[in-house]
Amino acid sequence: MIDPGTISAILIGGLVLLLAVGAPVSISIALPSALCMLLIVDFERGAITAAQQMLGGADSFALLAIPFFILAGVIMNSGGIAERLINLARVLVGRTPAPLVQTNVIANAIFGSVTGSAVATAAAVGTTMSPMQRREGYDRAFSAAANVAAAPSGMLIPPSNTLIVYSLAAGGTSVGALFIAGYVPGILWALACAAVVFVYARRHPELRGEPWPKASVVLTTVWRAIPSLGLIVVAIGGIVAGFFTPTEGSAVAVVYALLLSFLYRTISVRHLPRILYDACRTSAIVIFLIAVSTIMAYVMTYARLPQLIAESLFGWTDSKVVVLLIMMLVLLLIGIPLDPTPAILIFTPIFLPIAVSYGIDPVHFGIMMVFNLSIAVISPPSAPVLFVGAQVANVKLEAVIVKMVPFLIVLIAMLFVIVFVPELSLWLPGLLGLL
Amino acid sequence: MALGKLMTTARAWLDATLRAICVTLFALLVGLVVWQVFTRLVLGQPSAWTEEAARHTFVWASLIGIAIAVGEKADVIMDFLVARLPLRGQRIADLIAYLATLAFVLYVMVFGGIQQSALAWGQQNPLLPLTQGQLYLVLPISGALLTVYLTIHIVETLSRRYVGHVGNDEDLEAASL
Repeated sequence: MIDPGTISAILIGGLVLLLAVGAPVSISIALPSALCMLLIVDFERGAITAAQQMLGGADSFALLAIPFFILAGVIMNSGGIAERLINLARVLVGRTPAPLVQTNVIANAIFGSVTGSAVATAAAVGTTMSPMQRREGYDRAFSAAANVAAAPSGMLIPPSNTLIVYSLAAGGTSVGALFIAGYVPGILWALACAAVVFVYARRHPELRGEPWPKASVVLTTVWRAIPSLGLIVVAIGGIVAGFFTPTEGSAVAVVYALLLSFLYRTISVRHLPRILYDACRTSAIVIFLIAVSTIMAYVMTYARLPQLIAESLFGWTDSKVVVLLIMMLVLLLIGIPLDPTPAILIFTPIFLPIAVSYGIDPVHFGIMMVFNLSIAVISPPSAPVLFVGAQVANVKLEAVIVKMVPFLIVLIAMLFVIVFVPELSLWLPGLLGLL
Repeated sequence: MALGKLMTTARAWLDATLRAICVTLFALLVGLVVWQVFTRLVLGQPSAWTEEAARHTFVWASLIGIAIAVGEKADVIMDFLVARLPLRGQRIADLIAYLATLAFVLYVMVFGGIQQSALAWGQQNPLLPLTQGQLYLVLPISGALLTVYLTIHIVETLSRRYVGHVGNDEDLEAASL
């Protein structure tokens, strides 16, 4: 019988060591898992089992929604949509102080929901906004921090690939219900960031708000943004109404994004290979991560690690509050080195059954998990969104990290509100009869 | 020198071929699923083979795609620690990372993949004119491509042209000059 202690030592030690030398996250999961496979079975069977797990993990029709939503996002990103949505955000911000940073925050929520990628959002909106912010004398590090902090709200506002991965790991929680449940927490995320900016602006009276634009300008701006937002209405509406599956909805989103971009003449047929290639490469990285996480999950189950982790973490308490607090703490910590995808694939099978036994709805649990891991995506030191945000604003990473602190504190506080007020996640899907 | 030039040409050719394959597979994937939606919603008769074909196309596109991603070093890495090391340390860290990747690729994807494909070679797929073993071939193919790219990276790391990691901060300082 294999010793669970040895297995966990190899998995954790290998992960940390390989991440430290700069190996890809996927390999830092894959190689230690393959090593454990060698200990469990012999050389030949270990290789075959690992190969089977890899292909089995990637081979799923439900997963197909991920490359399609990525593709739709890449098309929207190269279709001049960002500018229309930023203008919309500018109108929505109204007369609040520090308007350019507030616009950035709101635009990230809107654009993030269209592209579904925190990194792409921080890059696209940040690139447009930071020269304007700099011209108007805004603090560059603070503006960059606001851009970074607001970027992951699109991971909660549907379509969300992270929620699709959770649905898979949770054994088929309805993607439609998860998508609808993500709206309120996603919007709260953006509002939490907006609140931090608001307080900041109070102490900087030079960043005055601007008068309301003319009604005609407001109407034109909203009108010009409607077709881009229609993507969300068609794809999400169709999925939630049960008109098509998430995968089919994602394919419809691709067709919609393509037609819109052709209509706007922002992309033409000769751009298509480049766009397809970008989307293929990005989704390959995600799918590879899922494939290798499947090997790790297999090894862990074989060594009975999930039960042992559950027993040692939660065996000493039967308080629902304590259990949830421990889960959130573990996820916040594990999310820092690990990408949300493997974190969800590995921890959902361990945590979800316990959460359900305390009467927590799987939809609510998925939302708190994704909210939690989205904080990790922007937490230093290892945060791709943070790197991109600092880069496009041309600021030193350290300076941005300092300005991130108030955002992180507010977002972590918001996480606990999301955890302990299930209505925030469940009210909307309940209203639509999705639970 | 002539050998170096030949290598560069061969690499450019490989990159271009793999890109073309990825783009074709991805376009095919979009076509298959759109067709599936069309047959189900418009014709009212969902096509059975498209889902099966789409899943396999997806696995192929992803595994060929990861080879290119590694070739272009586009995979997610965190080098905030490594970037702070002196050049010699960076070189050693990079070598460990590449060798670790290579070990996994050779053991699981190439060796395990070939075994798995061989086991299922004669097993006919019920919906497609291919056997399971043929569909599984993508794993060792992707493994072989990864081996080529990793070998190139290792050679570059050992060569005198190795410049190390250009850290985030240095990059930005250079940009703001």
